[in-house]
Amino acid sequence: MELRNRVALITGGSQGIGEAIARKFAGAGAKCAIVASSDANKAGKIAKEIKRGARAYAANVTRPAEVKRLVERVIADFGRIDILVNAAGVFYPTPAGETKTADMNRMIDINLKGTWNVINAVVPHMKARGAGNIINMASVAGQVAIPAYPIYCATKAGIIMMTKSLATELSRSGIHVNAIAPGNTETPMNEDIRTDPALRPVLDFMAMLTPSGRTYSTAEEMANVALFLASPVTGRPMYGAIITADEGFAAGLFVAG
Amino acid sequence: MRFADKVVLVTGGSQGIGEAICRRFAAEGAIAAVVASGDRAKAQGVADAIIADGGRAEAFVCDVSDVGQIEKLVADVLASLGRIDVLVNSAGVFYPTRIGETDEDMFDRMCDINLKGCFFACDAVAQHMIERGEGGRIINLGSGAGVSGRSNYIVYSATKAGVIHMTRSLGVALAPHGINVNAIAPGNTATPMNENVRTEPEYAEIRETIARNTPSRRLFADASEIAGAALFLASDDANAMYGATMLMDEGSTAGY
Repeated sequence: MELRNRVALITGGSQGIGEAIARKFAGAGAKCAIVASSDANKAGKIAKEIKRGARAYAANVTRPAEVKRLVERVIADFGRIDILVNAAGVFYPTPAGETKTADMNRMIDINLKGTWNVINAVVPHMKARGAGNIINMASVAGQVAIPAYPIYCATKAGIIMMTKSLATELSRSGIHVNAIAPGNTETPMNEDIRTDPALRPVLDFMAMLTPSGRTYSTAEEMANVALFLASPVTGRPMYGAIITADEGFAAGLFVAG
Repeated sequence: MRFADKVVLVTGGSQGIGEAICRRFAAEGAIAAVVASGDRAKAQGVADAIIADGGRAEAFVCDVSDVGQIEKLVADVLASLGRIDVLVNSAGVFYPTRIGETDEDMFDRMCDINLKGCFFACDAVAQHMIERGEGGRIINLGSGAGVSGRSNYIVYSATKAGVIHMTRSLGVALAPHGINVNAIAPGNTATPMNENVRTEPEYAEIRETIARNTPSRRLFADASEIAGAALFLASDDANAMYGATMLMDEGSTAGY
């Protein structure tokens, strides 16, 4: 029970990796504030299942004022925020010459600015307490490029460097900032790639580039890494680290023979 | 008991981070093969302490800069303990190699132990793991100095960058065999290897440099904390990890 009574705010907590983290953290004793992007009922369903006083919220992370209200409500409800997990994010292709400005903006607004907005709102509270633990969800696509996803790659690379810069700034205040770079992980965000026959070439491409032969990790495995970072024992020396958990995707090329 | 009856071979296991790794694995049920570089009594001391705590351990000796000794070590461990489930390459040396003050022997010795020794230990143990067909775990010790440069530890930082990058290639090479190869990159960690830096007056300037470059203000992590990452990487929690490096350095290499 390494997170006993710790309060964790988890954006993107109503599905995928965020949901798995909420379940894992609750299992380790944490009280979770689960944030869905718009549908509080989705978050509510998870909160009801994991118990331990978990509560559901909805907030659009692209709107700073809404995020600020969210943080105030969570602090009012739980008394404090010990852990922030930024798992809200979107994933879709943005091929050059074929991408609407609105789609490009939406991805940057959610993945990069959204992560920043929540951090910016939570940090004054953590600074005042002299403690905190922030975990950002980056991606292996922020370390190695994949074709047709330039904006996704750029937002995730942005999160990686934002994580490192924040670590240098906030470790002085006792706040850990680290990131996880998952590879392909089985979540609703990529269900289409895993199941839609039209996207079979994308799936084959991912399989070809996955040394372990396991094209998709599980969301729970990413939650295991998050728990390691969030734990005051195992995560203690960790600031500005990017933990790649990607079936070997980013490590290099598997050359047969 | 996450590691009940697993055989964990730890080079550099007789002191510092390697010793902490041996103790923590043994505390969770593993059989620790504790390897000292030359002084068997040191490895035996760690093994005896583990046994006194109710754990299981056996002492070995191996100079990892000698490939013949690595082959003999692996044969000895297999003869005595039957198999190797986890290899931790913690053997390493750390000394300054400044411009104008580094001779060829200093360069060769550091490369032979830190880089060549790590490769051939992986090579020997991986062949056993492949033959056995049940996968395995290999954990290499990189360093924060392998992520960003060190003006006075030029060769050390190069060998550790080499270990981190070799881990990527090994991760890819051995992933199809179910062998997870990953690394830990500790920052300054309190061990006998840097006792002089932590305590002696002539190292005051280095301590000030470390203080300036440690955002968390905790100048030295505990060896047991680094061991925590080794246990994590050897556990099922790290099933998705191949070729990765866990930086545990109090923020020192994230930037300035």
